[in-house]
Amino acid sequence: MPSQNRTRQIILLIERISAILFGIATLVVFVSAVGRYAFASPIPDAFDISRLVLAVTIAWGFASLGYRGSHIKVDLLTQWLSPAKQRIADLFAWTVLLIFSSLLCWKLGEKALSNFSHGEVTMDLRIPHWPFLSLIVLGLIMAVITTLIRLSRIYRFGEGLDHEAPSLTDESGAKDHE
Amino acid sequence: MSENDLIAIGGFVVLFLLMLVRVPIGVAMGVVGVGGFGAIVGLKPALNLLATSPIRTITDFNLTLIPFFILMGVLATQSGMSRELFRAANATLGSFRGGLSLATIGSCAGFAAICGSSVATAATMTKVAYPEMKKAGYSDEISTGVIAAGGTLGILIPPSVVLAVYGYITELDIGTLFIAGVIPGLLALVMYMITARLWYGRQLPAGKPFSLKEALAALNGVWAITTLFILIILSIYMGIATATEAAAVGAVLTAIIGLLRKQLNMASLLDSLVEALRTSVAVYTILIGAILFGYFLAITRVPQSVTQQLLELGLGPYGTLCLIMLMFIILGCFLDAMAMIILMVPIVYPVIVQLGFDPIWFGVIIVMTVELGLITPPVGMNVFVINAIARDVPLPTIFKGVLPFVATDIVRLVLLIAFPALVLYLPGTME
Repeated sequence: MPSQNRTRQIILLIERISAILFGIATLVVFVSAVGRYAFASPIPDAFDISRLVLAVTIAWGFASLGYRGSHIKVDLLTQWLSPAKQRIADLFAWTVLLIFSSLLCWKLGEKALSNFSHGEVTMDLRIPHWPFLSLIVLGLIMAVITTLIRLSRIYRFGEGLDHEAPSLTDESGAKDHE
Repeated sequence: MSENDLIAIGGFVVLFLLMLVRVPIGVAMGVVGVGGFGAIVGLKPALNLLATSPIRTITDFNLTLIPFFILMGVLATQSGMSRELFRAANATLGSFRGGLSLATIGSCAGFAAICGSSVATAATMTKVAYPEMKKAGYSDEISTGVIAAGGTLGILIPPSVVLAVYGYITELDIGTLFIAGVIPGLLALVMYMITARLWYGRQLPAGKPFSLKEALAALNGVWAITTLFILIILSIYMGIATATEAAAVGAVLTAIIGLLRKQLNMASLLDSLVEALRTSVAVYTILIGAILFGYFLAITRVPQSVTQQLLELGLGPYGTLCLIMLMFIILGCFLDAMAMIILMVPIVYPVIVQLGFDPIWFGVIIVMTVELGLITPPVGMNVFVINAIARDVPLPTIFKGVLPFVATDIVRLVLLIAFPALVLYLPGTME
């Protein structure tokens, strides 16, 4: 199991790569929208490229959340539990996440493989979908690994799920879901 | 009771148990969805759902507006626009008695118009407005109550992530839903201001007059973002751009404004992208789970049974509507707004359609109902967020401060139920 610092660096790298891809997807939609309305010439395949690139970033983002524990969850009951019981609840919760992520990874892996031989292509440029699907599966594999790392840290060091979560009180971390 | 009914009930029990032990809400819904579907049709078809449904969700172009709008909000926060909005609102309203409280509500509305998240609005405005109000002699009860209530505007004033999710689930046009939220959002803003002024009356400190020069300087900081917001809403309203395109254009232009005004640099831009991505993934996880759970609902015919049973109660359309809203308010004690919408809307939506209510109108009404959960105990997410930042203010004080605004919310809900045109007028005039 890698040291905590190295794990953090790897997670940060994953987050930054996916953030750049996220930025690219946003730019593609922006340029295509401006191109269409201002010059009557949208970017070819902007629709497919932006949604597929964004899907890759979301899948890679699962790796970040698996480690940081910052999925949306209900804290109502567990906040009243003793630290030992909280740890058991956290272990259980992240084991369920691990099983779910692993199943997702397996089934999407199969889909990516089948797409490799006779798969879909984008509408305009006929770019095959399989490279994007492969990157999505890679993201899910990373998510399984990072979830496993978080589980191990809960078990070995008693770290809670929110140990590496971005602080809600940070101005930059203030985003939530409502 | 048939076997399917038992599986449905069991599924809901397992779902709530999983959520109570902090299994991520989306994962809990996904596990129960696949497991419940598998219990009825077999394991193999259930597992095959995992190969098709989640990938469809994350590659759905219609959903991409959610990360784009989240990004726009994060960029606005990183650029310090919340502070500028507060300064501008204060320069405009600060001379009246209780002007700072009115300015706080006004800047909450302004920030909500860029951000789309209630919790983010409450968190940001606590840092910006609370110290100023404390310095000006406002009691903790008033200042935190005003911020908690003002924060809820984030869920209603477009762009609203929760309204977008409602639109996705019900297959309604998200742009139309955003436009439908405009008048109720403005109504909320005005009613909150009136409540603050009338309820707290003489308890509010006197205002501080601003010179024209000061006011113009403060307004100078917000013209760009105000223009951007108006352009986004107008482009959706006039059908010039889809909501997704408007979201992407809004995010890119917010970044450009921030970079040009040197409020953002490449490092903070990257940080914003990372932050927006984390939040977006959390939302997507719930959506993936919700769609999987939808298969379980469909095969167990839960929505049909609920529809039949609610209609058999013979409460009439408005009685049934009140019962549904009550269910949302009770669930709001345990679940957050997004989870409630995703879990409950597929179940009650057929009832609403059958009763002849307008789905767009219902979307706004139900979002306002879950908004109540953000400021009422025991969860009251906004209250907890404020408490996490203003640590010296006890939770009961914040809840006490927010109480008059809860009453206002209920009055506003009654108004919108009595006069649906307040919601439906603008969508009816869309091109």
